[in-house]
Amino acid sequence: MARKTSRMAGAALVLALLFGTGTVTAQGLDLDKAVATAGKWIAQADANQADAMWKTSSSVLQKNVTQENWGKYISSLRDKAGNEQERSWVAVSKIDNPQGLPTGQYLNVMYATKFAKAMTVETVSMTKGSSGWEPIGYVVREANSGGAAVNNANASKPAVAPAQPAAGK
Amino acid sequence: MTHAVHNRSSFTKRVLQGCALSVVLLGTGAALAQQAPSGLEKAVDAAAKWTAQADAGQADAMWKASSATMQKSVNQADWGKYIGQVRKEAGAQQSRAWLAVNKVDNPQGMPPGEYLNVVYNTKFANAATFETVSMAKNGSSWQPVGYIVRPQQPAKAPASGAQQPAASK
Repeated sequence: MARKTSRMAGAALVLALLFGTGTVTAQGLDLDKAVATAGKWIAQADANQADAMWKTSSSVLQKNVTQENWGKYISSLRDKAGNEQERSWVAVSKIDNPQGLPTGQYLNVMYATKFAKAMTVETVSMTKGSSGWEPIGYVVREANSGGAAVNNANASKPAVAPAQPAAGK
Repeated sequence: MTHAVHNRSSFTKRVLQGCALSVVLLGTGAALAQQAPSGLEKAVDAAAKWTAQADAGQADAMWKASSATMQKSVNQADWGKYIGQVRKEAGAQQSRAWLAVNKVDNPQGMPPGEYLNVVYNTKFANAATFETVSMAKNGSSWQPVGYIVRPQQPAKAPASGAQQPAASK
């Protein structure tokens, strides 16, 4: 278990964690579309369609990580976690002005997801682009024992960092 | 400094007393595979209107707009006292920023159904807080079913907070 944890953590290390600041209301964010788009995107990950994921991702992600590296990242995650067995949406939270990313609107969409080898919290980060919400990151973290310890978006900080795409190396 | 800490701590205590009016409900882990519920945007809009009524001292209007479950659990007069007490302690609302929408699965003591917590980072004159409005799905719309204001400091938000709807007694 500990080994698996460290392997999952290792995968997460590929990604930089960003913390946001600021204030915005939720009005007009079109949360429903953001969540629907995120759901379709991770379904592509389940189906080993990393190329399709990359192509439908934000240009920011595409600039930061090549299609080939994205494919490696997704397959490495799935190798470690195993097949997706069950996924439940748990939260959508706003991240304001994440460091290192262009000014804009960002959301994290979170799922409690059971893979064959691990209970996890999946986070899909979304950004508002010219054509609506676009995926800009994906992180899978192993949940604490029991899997109920879903990251708590009402905790005192945006504990949930948006996932920044792998930096292409 | 000591004073500040002391004051804060007593504010916490008082708010917690206010919350004693509220029953905290734990959600059980969901066994069902779940999509995000429809109408997240509507839920957030409805929650925003409700908190605006609290800001305006319109506790009666809040009660009337709330779900039947809440109305059965707390009468209009007690709701007025609860809102009055919370606002007296926190002071006037100064800023409010939407943070997150969390799904609450099968909250104990509540009728089966879909529940969400809408969480705000809200600054009142006397304290920076997390405001949580719990929403229950009613047909195609969402109705408020609970409201809790927690100071951000020094109390840590309970780790399980995301799983608990803030339901009034």
